[in-house]
Amino acid sequence: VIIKGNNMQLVDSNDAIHELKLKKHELRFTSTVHIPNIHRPTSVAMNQLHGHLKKNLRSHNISINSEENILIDSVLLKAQSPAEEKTDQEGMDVLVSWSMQDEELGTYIMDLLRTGFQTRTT
Amino acid sequence: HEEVVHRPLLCGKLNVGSFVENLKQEGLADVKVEEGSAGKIILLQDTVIQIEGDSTHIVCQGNETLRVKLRDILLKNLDGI
Repeated sequence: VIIKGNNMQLVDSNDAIHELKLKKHELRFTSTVHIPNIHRPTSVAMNQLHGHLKKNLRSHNISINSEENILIDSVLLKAQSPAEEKTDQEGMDVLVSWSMQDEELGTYIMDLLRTGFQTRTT
Repeated sequence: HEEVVHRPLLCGKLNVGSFVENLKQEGLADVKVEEGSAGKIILLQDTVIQIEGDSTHIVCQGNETLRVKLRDILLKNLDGI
């Protein structure tokens, strides 16, 4: 809401920032989640994750690209290649990256990967 | 999961000096500030914070408690509204 004198206007937040001559600050987070019971190779695991997220986030558009990255709005999921000494270990590390604007969704996905995936796929 | 309705927009620049000061006050004393090619880089435990003008990227290793703490301290030190 922008109030100018006696006028009150409801505008889009991007327009409001422009109108007030402010500069946007982009804040982005990248974090890692270890998913212990997921099947390698990476392509299979990422497809498994894709299916799981689609089931849990029905109102969001979830896509997977040829590099096996999953995108949900501004949230990006990427499989992290394991360090050589860990290649025979179970599970996989997944990088999750999101912007502050999608903080609620990013936090929810982090939670879903950390708890939900493990219990629902065993 | 409900539709996300709250999508905060941030503005302003990060005051790096007071941000680092606040980190130390919150008990995160092991902070190193380095000059990067495009801005400043803050190293804290296994977390890296890259600050370049109007953007900040917090890269952490899955410690949500620490991430949320860093987020909140950072938001207090943006000189926007």
